[in-house]
Amino acid sequence: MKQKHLVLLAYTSIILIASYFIYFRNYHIPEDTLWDEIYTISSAYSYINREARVEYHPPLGLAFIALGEVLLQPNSTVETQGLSKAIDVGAIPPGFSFKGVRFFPALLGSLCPLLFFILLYLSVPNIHFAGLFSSLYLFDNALIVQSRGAHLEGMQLFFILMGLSCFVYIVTRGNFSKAAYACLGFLVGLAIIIKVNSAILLILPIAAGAMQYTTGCSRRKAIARISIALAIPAAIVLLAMLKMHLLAAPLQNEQPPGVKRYFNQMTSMNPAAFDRLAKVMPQNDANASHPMSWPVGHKSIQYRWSTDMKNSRFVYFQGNPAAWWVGFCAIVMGIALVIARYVFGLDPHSKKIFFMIQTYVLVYAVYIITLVFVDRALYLTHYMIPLVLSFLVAYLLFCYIFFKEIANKSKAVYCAAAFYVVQLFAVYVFFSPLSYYHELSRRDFNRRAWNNLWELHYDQEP
Amino acid sequence: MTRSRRAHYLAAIVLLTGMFYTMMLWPPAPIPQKINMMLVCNQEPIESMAQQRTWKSWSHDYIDKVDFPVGWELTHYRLGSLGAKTNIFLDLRTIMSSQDGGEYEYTVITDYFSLSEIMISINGKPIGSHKGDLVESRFVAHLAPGDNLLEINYIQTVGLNSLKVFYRPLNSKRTYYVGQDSDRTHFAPAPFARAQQRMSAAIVYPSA
Repeated sequence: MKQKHLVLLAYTSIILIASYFIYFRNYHIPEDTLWDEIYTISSAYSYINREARVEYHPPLGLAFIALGEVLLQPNSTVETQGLSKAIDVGAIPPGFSFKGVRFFPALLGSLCPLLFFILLYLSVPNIHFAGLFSSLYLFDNALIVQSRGAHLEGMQLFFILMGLSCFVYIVTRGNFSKAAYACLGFLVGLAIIIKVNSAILLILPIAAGAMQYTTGCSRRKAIARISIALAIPAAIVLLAMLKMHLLAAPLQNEQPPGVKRYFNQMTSMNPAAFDRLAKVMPQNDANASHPMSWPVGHKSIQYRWSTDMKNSRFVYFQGNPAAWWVGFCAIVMGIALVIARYVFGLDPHSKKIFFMIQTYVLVYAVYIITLVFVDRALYLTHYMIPLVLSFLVAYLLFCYIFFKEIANKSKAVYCAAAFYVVQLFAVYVFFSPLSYYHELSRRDFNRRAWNNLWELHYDQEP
Repeated sequence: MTRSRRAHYLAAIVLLTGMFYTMMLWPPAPIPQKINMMLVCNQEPIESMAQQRTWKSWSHDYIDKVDFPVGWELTHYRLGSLGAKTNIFLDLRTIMSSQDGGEYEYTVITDYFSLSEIMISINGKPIGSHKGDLVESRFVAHLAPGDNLLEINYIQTVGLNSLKVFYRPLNSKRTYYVGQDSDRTHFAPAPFARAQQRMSAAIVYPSA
C-alpha cells in the first residue's frame, strides 16, 4: 500500500512538473493578442473598470481573467482605461503585458492534466496506465494553445474535469448520496457559467440517476437526486454569479438604455435578450468549420502570425494528430461497442466501464449533433469538450479490451502503451513550434501540413 | 483470439504507428549549399558556374491541373510550395486526348504587377503567347482526334507568381482546368525530354 502511494505521488509529481513546463511556463508569450483574447480582455476590463455591458459569455471565466489582472497588476503603468471598449478601438495599448489576464487560464489549464490523471485513475484504478494515458491530455498541442491564452476553455475544462471526476466517483463507488449529486451539479454549474456549451454535461447526473435506478433504487428517489444535481446548485451558482456580475459592474444612471434594458431582461429571464445576443453571433467566417469535420481536425486556426521575410512565427490552433486520431478511433469503436450491446445483445464483461463508455459516447454524439443545428459560425475550438471525452473513451476502451492482459501484467501491453506515449511526445515536440510561437521556415512549416483537411497555411490568412 | 495474441496485435499496431511517425518526423536530407549550373543557348552550353543555392533548381512534379494560386512563391494548391520565387521557368507538358477532335478555346489567367511570358503549343506548334503584365488571354486551336501534346511554357522574372489555364470545347459551355478530365477529353502525363534538346530559349538548369 505504501509503495502504491509512492507510485501515485511520483506520477502526480511528474505530471505537475511536466504541466508547468508545457502549459504554464512563459505563458505571456507572445506579447500580443491571440484569437478571441481581444474580446475576453475587453470584457475583463469592463469588470475592472466597473462598467456594465452586454457580454457574449457568462461571467465566471471573465471574472477570473479580471482577477489575475487585479492580483498581478502588470499593467499599472499602462493606459488601460479604454480597454473595456477595445473591441471598438481594435487594439491593445502599447506595452500591455499579458501576465495578468492569462494567469488564471494558464494556471487552471496547467492543473488539468493532473485532474485528467485523477479522473482516469478513478475510472479504472491502474496507476501506470492512468499515468501513461494522461499524456493524451498533457501533450495535445491544441489544448496547450487554448489553455495558455486568455481564453475560457482552460478554466472551463478545469471544472469539467472536476465534474467528470465527481461523476466517476458516484458511478464507480456507488455513492448515490444527495451530497455527491449536489457536488456534481455544483461543478457542472461552475463550468456552465464559464461557457454555456458545458451544459451538455447535465447529461451526467441523469446518467448517474439512471444507473442508480438500475441498482434497485426507486424511480422517485432517482428522479429526486437528479433534480438536486440539475436544478438547485446550477440555479444557485447562476443567480449568485449574475448578482456578482451586477455588483462588479453596477448599472449607472448614465449607462446607455440598451445595456440597462438588457440586464433587466436577463434578470427577468426574458427571451428577447437571448434573441438579441443570437443576432450578434457571427454567421460566416473563413476560420469556421462544420462540427462533423472536427474529429479529423478540420480546420486549424491561425491565432498569431509574424514574419521577417525569411522565416515566420506562428501560434496555430492545431491538435496533436497522434492524440486526435486515437480519440477519433476510440469514439468509432465506442459507438460500435454500444451498438453491439443494444443491437446484438453483447454482454459487457465490465458493466461499470461499459456504462462510462456509453455515457461519454452519448454526450459526445449529443454535443456534435446539437451543434450541427446551431445557426452560427462554429470553430474547431468548440471541439474541446468532445476531444477530452474521446480521450477518456480511449482509456476506458483500452482497459475494457485488454482487461485480462492488464490483470496478468502482460509486458506487450505495457510496452505498447509506453511506446505510444513516446510517439505522443515526439509528435508534440514536432508540432510545438506552432504552439509556442517559434520560428519556422516555409519548408519546415510544410513538413507539418500532413493533411489538407487541417488547412495549415504558411502565409497570413485573410 | 487468445490473450497473448491480442496483446501482440496491439504491440504490432503501435509499432506500425511508430514507424509512420518516425517517417513523418524524420528530418529531410540537407540540401547541398552549392549547385553546379550551366547556361544553355540554342542547345549549346555557353557558361558553367557554381553558386550558392538560393532557389530550388529543378523539379519534376506531376500535377493534376494547372492551378497555381497567387503568391510570391510558386505554389500548387495540392503539392504546396514548389520552392521558387523569381526567375522561374515552368515547363508543363501533358497528353491531351480528344475523342472527336475539334475547336478548343484555352484561357490563361495570371497575376497583376509582374513580368511573365506564357506560350501554349499543341503538337509543337505555338497557338498563342503573351508577354508582359498579363491578366487574362484566350487562344483558340484545333485538336485532332486522339492524342495531342499540349505544352505550356511560363517564364517569370519578377513580381507575384500565378498561373491558371482552362480549356473549353467550343461547342460546350463548361470550362475545365487543363489536367481536369471532361466527358470527351482526357489527360495523361507526358514524359519530360531533356530541356536543352527541345528549347531554343536560354534556360538555367543544374548539370548532371
